[in-house]
Amino acid sequence: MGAASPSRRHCLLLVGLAPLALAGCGRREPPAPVVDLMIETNGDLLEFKPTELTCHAGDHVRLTFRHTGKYVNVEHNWALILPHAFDAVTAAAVKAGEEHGWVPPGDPRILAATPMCGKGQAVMTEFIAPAAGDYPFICTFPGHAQSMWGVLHVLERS
Amino acid sequence: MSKRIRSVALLACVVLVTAATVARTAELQAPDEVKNALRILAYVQDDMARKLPSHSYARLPHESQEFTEASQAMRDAVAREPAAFKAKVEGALGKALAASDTVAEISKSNDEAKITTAVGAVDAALQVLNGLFPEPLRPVPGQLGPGPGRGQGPPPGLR
Repeated sequence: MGAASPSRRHCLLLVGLAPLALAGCGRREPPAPVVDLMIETNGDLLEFKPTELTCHAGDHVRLTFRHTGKYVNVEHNWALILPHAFDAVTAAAVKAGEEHGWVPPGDPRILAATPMCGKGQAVMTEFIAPAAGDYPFICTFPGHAQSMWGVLHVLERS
Repeated sequence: MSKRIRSVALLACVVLVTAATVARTAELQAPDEVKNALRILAYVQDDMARKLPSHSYARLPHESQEFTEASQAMRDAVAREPAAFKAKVEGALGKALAASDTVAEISKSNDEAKITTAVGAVDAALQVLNGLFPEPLRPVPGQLGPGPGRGQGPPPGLR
């Protein structure tokens, strides 16, 4: 039970440093920064407020959408879509119907979407921000996207 | 000389009308609420009209219900106005609501011409209601929604 021999000590040192060495070899990217974005309806109007949001490519976005309507019992959501997909997505949303919350399931043109929510409620979605560029966001409830839309500006990460 | 007089008279008229409009707006107890209520009603009517090209008539009773709910925003907005003015507003609002109820009823017929006429009647009734208020508070037809397209969705570069 005496002190460990030099060769045994060397082995123990290697075993102890192994996890650190392996971690260093993994070349892991730093975790994506978490960004909280807030958006709401413009009261009972079929409009988002604000109509422009900004984040950086690769951000872990936590978006909260609040329905601030007071009078009209109509549901809204927030959906981020690919550029140039507006007509196709709004048509697909009508086809998806109420049973799918007016969001076509698994549609690759929809990058993120909250569930529908009624007046006074808030809903959330999380997503990793796509490559830099301007992306439209809309409410997919039939007929709303014509005026309920805005732009997410995704900036290059410096 | 007569041209100059005419120009001065025209300018005076413009100034008087503008002043009267500003005074009328200032007279309202809650002009912002009135403006908001008129816009809510306009949006619901607009949404109703959007159901026509896609023949989504089954949605029209829902739109009619939303119109009824939106009417409360107008009642709240004029709640502190003089009784005579409130009665005028209520009369115009009542006609718009009746027109909206007709849309819900006619929508079951699936008769495109009748439904189009009924939706048009809601728009006409709303114009009468809008006319009771100063122009700066009235929604501009075809100018609802953000961006350059105003109610036409995102611009072509994004759409």
